[in-house]
Amino acid sequence: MNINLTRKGKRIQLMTLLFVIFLLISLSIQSLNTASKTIEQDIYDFSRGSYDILLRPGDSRTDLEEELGLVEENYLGIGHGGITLEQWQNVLNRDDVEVAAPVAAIGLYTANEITYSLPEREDSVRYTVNYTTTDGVHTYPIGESYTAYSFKDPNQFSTYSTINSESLVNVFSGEYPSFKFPLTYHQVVAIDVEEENKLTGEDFSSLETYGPGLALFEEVPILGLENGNIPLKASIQIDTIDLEDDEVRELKRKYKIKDNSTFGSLSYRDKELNEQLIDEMAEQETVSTETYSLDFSDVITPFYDNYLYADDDYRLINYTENPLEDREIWGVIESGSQETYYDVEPVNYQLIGDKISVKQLGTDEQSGIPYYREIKERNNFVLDGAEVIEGEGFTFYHVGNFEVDDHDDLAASPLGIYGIQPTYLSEDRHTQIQPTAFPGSFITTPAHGLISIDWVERLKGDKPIDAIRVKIAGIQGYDQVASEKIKSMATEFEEQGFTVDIVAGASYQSLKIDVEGLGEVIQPWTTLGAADTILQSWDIVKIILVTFFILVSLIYMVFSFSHLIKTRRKEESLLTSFGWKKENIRKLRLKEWTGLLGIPFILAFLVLLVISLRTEEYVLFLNLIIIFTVTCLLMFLVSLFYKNNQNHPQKPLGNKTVTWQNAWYYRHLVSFSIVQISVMSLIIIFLPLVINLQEKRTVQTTLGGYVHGQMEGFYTVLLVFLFTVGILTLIETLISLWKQRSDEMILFHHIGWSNNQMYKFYLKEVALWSAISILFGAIMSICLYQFLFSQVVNTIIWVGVISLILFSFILVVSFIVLINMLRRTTKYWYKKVG
Amino acid sequence: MKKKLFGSLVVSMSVFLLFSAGIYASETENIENNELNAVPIATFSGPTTVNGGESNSWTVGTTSSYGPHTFYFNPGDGTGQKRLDGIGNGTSRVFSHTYRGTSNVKSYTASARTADQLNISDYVYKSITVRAW
Amino acid sequence: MLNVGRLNKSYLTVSGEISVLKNINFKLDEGEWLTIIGRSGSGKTTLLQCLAGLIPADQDSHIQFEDKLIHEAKEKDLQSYRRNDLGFIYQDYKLFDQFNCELNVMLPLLPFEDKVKLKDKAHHLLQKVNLTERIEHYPSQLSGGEKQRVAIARALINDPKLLICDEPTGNLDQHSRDEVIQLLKELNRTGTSIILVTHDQDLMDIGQQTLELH
Repeated sequence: MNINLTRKGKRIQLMTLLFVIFLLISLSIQSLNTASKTIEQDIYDFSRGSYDILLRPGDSRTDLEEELGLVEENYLGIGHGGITLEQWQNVLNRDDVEVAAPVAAIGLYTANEITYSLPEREDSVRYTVNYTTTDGVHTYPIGESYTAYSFKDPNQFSTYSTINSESLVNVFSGEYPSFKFPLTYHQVVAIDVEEENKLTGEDFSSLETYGPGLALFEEVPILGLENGNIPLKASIQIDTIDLEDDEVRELKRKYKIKDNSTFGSLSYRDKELNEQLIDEMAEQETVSTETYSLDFSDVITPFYDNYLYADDDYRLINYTENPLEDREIWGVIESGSQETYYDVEPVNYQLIGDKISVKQLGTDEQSGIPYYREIKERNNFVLDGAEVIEGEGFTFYHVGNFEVDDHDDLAASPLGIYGIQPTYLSEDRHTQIQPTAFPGSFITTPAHGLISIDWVERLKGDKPIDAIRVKIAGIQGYDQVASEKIKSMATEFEEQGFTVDIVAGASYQSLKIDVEGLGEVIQPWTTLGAADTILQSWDIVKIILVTFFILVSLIYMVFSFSHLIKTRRKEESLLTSFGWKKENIRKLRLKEWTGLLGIPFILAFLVLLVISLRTEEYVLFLNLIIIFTVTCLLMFLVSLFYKNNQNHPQKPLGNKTVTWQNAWYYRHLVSFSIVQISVMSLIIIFLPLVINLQEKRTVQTTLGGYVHGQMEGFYTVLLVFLFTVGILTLIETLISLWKQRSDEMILFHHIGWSNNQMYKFYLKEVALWSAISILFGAIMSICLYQFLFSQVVNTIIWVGVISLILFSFILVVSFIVLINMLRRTTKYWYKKVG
Repeated sequence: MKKKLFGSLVVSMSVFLLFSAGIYASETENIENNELNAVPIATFSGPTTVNGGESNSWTVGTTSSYGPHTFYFNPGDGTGQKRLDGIGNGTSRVFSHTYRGTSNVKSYTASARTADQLNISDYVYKSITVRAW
Repeated sequence: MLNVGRLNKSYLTVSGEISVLKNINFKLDEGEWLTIIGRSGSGKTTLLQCLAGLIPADQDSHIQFEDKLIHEAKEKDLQSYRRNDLGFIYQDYKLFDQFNCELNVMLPLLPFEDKVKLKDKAHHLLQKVNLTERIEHYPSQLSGGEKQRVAIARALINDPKLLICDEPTGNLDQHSRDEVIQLLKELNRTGTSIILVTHDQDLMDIGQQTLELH
């Protein structure tokens, strides 16, 4: 006959739980390895972009970069240098470096100033020209407005006579009605042709050609960005005016225009008189009006300096793409435009909480265009007329354009000057934000002009380089070996004084930025070294989850074994009083426990066998054996503890409320539950805090989202089981506690206490010790968070709410258990045959 | 019979080769000649002394016949280079310019250049004196 | 005060219906003492439970306490009946080990009355059972007899009309037994009705009435 001192129900429950615990712990230990292997595989496959390490001068990191681990898409486009050409050469000449591509931002420059021509008009016309620029949302007037007149000269000195403002002298004529347009400034960056080609695959060799020598200064070849934008529009109003020959002669006489002289240059002789003339001409009656809009952004690229003209339909034409064959084109080109350039500072982003904002620093006096960064106007050289009186003159020679492909890789390396992801309004994805013609936009554009690094020392001094993109030789992807190599080289460079970032695995992230004057915009930023960060963040979450799961499981096992041993004690002593020998009792105990532990072990073994055959993860068995051994050891230790520690009567508290006295007196019965609840509250508060932190940093990148998505299923199971075990401990604790106090319940029932009074009496006690546990767990989670991440938890409300929810849940569970206990206890005598 | 046939073949081939070589040589020579001849020379005519504030004209021409031509005129006073992209075979163009007058006499070095479909000419310079007011 | 007529109680078991109480009839006036005597299994405890309204008697049974019809009262009324009119004393005392004597005595009325008044009352009752010096002591520090005296004091806290005693001397030595019986007699003399259940033949003749169950 099979004797079992432990009741059948209890045996089945314990064996089931042990089976699940054995299985889950074995799998979760394995998952720590498997998951990181999966991640490594992902990174290997996806994340090696064009280069591995970014070198910048020491102390290059902005506050935002430190805080969020993010940089603007074209963050290398602005810089004050800090790395010498020699330092770059030293990096380039290393055997373990395949590519060392330098970047030197030289500032915002304008193209050679050119004019554009409108079609010839034989009638008498007045031209009124205005210019506007836009940031995509607001439109601003910019530059000089022009008024000019063209009409037939009755004296036939020249075919046309013109009247114009001073700035149009030598520009505007009747045959070629031409105008200047406002200068626009664009980011120019110097690169090394060979290294940049290795990095990007693009051919920049035209930067090393010689110019045609059309200019008076040394010509510096420049490539413009194909999709670079000239944010400029001209509004042209052409009024046909009624001007008779006699009127013209009268005007000539009045304004002392000699026969061999023209109106057009009157301003050179007498400015005031010219203005008077223009004012008088403004009163000429308009016979008809035509208006045209010329959009420069559709037609020319930055640093375009070829002819520009409008066709007969007043459409602006780019000569390089559409050379006119049926009409002569005339224009002016000024080579001295690179005399002045702008140095800009990086945007000062402000991070308050998790909101990023940008403030206006001021607005341009003339146009009202806001600027968001410090702008300094500087001179490369000084001209007097055509003569360079200070410095060395040079001019850009436009040799063509370069194109940037839209990289859509999972982890495109941030090349730092080629980012073309648009910035747009948060509430209207169709409204793209762009810099205006006036420098100082918060948007850092990609390089609009590229020149060769051969020129950079002359333009920027002896430490001109802002960054070097380094590709390491001899590695294929981001596996463990490559990672070590990259890290060791990074350390070396760091010791040389560079700011070093491991860039492999960087990916794009869109940031919401509050821009003063525009509202919320979405701007493309990029992470640096995302792969490492993702790995680390995932490790911490995983490790904590697995650790606490194991802890909770072990606590539950100790609790169950303690309970088992305590209940057996009475029964075993009864057996002794019947005359059973000690060894018989020991044999019985061993038999029961062998079944209790052995059956779950065998079942878990079988399940793991199936899993390992499918996944070829045979180390699962080792995990199982380890956890089984630990369990047996625990069992042994617990029985030893209870053997040496007989029941000592508890000491009451005295002089406190009834609830405190109750809680104190029965603390030994609820201690396991207190620990489990503390752990549950720690987990339930800590995990979301960590996940939120990681999200804020890098998790929402393309790579992060992909990686995290992989392993969530298993960890959800783990989390669910962790809470199940915790709640189970609570329930069993309460049952055990209240069983021991069934006499109390009977008494209360007899003396006429209502159910509500009994609920209050017992639940106040539960509320007390569970509140203490939750508070302890909350404090521990905050401390752990602070310790691991050096971050202050600024969401105390969140912590409070979660604690409250857990507390309420525990009370609800306790209430349900209590109702059942009371029902059983007070109906107990129903069953008893008196 | 065979010998005769072979002999005729050799002769014809030699003649053919010589003929080709000759044509080739003359062509190359032509090309070389053309290239040598193709670098245009700019001509630059117009007043050398002018009044400030008055419009004057200069003519820039080319010796090249490989039109259409582009004509460049730089007055030398820092107001930029004027350029004209011609059509047809015109070999000269007129540029108007007004120099600013000052209280002193000023001299500027004006320059002109032309380019055709193949080459660009050297600069031709002219010193222009602007009379004082 | 207490009128019991045609009281029957049977249980349904696996082996069929077992009749525990058959046609019990008696009346108890105010200040009277009823001793219920019988062997183990004769239904003594079942009878007490029926009288206290803890278990329902069979249909047609009649239990009336003053004007309350216990056999058909609702649970709320039964709670009120037990709280206001009855006091219980048990063989195993049912004291709370975590509370001292004072609090043990106060406990039944703790949710209902002012603590200060209750405290005074408890002191008075402990004095009555000669345990003034044990007010601050805990049950683990008392002898069996002292424990039962504390239990009596507790049973009196609500000024019950009827004391139900289930083998109150079952766990006591002779000396303590006498002490407890003496105490109960004094209470009965002052007007408290008592129903005492015992299997002790020596206690048969204490009360005015004796009911023997078979």
